[in-house]
Amino acid sequence: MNCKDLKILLSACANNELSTSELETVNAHLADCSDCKATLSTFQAVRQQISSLQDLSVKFDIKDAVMADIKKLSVRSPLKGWLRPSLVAIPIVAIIVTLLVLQPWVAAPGFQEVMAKSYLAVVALKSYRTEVTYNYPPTANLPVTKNEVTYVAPDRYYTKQTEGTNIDEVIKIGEKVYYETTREGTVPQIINPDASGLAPDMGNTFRILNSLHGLQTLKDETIDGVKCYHYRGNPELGMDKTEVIDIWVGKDDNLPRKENFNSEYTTLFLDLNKPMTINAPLTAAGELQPGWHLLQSGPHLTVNYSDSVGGTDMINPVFSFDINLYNYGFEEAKNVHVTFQTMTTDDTTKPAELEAIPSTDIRPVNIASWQSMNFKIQWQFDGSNLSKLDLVQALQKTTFTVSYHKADGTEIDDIWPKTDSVIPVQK
Amino acid sequence: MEDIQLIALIRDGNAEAFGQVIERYQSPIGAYLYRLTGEYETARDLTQDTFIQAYQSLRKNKHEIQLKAWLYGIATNKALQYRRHKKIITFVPFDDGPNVDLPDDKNQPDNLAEKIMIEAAMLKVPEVQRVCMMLHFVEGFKYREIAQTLGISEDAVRMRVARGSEEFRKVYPQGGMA
Repeated sequence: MNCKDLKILLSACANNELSTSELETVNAHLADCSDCKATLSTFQAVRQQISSLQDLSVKFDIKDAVMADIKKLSVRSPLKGWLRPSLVAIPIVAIIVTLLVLQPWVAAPGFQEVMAKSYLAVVALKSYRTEVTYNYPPTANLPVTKNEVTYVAPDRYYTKQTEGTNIDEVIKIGEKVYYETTREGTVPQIINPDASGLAPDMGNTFRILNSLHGLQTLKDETIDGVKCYHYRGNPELGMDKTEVIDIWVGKDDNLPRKENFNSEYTTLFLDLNKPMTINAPLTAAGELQPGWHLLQSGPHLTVNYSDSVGGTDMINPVFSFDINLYNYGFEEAKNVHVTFQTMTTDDTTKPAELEAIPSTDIRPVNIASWQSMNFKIQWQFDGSNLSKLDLVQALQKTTFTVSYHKADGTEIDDIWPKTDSVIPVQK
Repeated sequence: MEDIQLIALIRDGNAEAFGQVIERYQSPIGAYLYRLTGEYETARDLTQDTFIQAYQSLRKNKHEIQLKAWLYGIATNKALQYRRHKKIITFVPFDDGPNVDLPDDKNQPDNLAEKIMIEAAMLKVPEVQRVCMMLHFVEGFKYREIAQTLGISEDAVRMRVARGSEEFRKVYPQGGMA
């Protein structure tokens, strides 16, 4: 056995997953091969590193919520209505890839060629719309949810997500992303980078559909006036064999028309190649229309902080701040610092700079796109020498600055709070 | 009460017995889903979905199961489904963030930082490999058990763990790796 062939056995060896005879084979080889000894130690190091995650737990308490749902289920159809809404945008290519994975040509000889043509037709699509609806009855906790996506070649997308009364809209034109939301009291902390995955993405869709199996060819059906092939398969990992995916493909043009995941959603593919336009939500003067935002290019940190003031009076308060920074920009935020400017220190004659401590010891602190980082700070203040008015003013003057660098070296200083005092003051 | 007794009670219509199943497995299943998705809110939602589906399936099907492995199978499927249906845009309220329960060694920030980096690196490993690695390295399942849980061959598990380990090494070359 050569070294390349041995690699998988070495991995299993590091994980104590070899049979006695395999172990003998591996040991015999290792006796004369220093390269494979090094490989084995590499696998052992990987094992040690990943196993260390056993120590990190995450607290969840979902018992009450699940039991409440279960009680509701007992008065509803036992097979429907138990899935929470999940919003979805399905690249149209997914359907074709599904067919490639399901390999319906096994059941219908000659179909592989049709599928190849179909794939080319989908990739060449100039425009299309999808509508996704969810297959469960609406309840207060599980509102009707719908997702619509429109694509216009080469790089324009519009999506509208409806979740109960909440509507979120995103327009993506090239690298520019605009968004609007009706959700009150929320901030767009996460805007999925997979938004760009709205484009036909073979790598992603292959991963998505790689787990399907058990193809059946069913009777042809007509969808939206188009005669279609009808195929059915199961997700590989579904322990519950009632999970079924159905796909309908036009017989004449081989373009997908409908997909149905029995417990979750139905997708319709509409207006294939019909003329459509998607424009940026701008006024004639080139400004954003009311309610619309432009997603920042570069890094963009949202700031979320909580504070506490210890003690029963404000004479000797202990201030504690927890600051969470989330980078929803497209670029890493480099060399991030959170600095407090306050008069509430021992020397009340001049402002002091206090540095909040990040939750990592790695320097400089960089926050990658779509990642977050926590900072903490705590200090105590002896305000006994100040009048109450001066003390209140000192407290109100406390601010903090989130500073970071863009990739091109530009420094950004974001001063908080935007309004009012960072420290709650009882006047 | 043993898992097998709880299953019998649930199948007999005792919904409260399922509460004990949730108490027993919500934290490990939740942590597993958190590691697979890297998103706390998502992991919590998927944990709920996992248990709701488990309850439904227990009531519907009477076949013999090994509860823990079976729950991990459902959870894995939920995580992969989520990947298929990932939101384009997510709006979340500001809150205190994930309630991560740190281990006892709180005085070892380097150690903790390393673990966070390992978790981040794992998220870059292809998910079919990551699932097998998490089940083996973190959840403690043997290859044979993973094969049964996921409905794949033991050789496939071996392959995925080996290739996943190599992928992990590429994105996390620290720690004296060769």
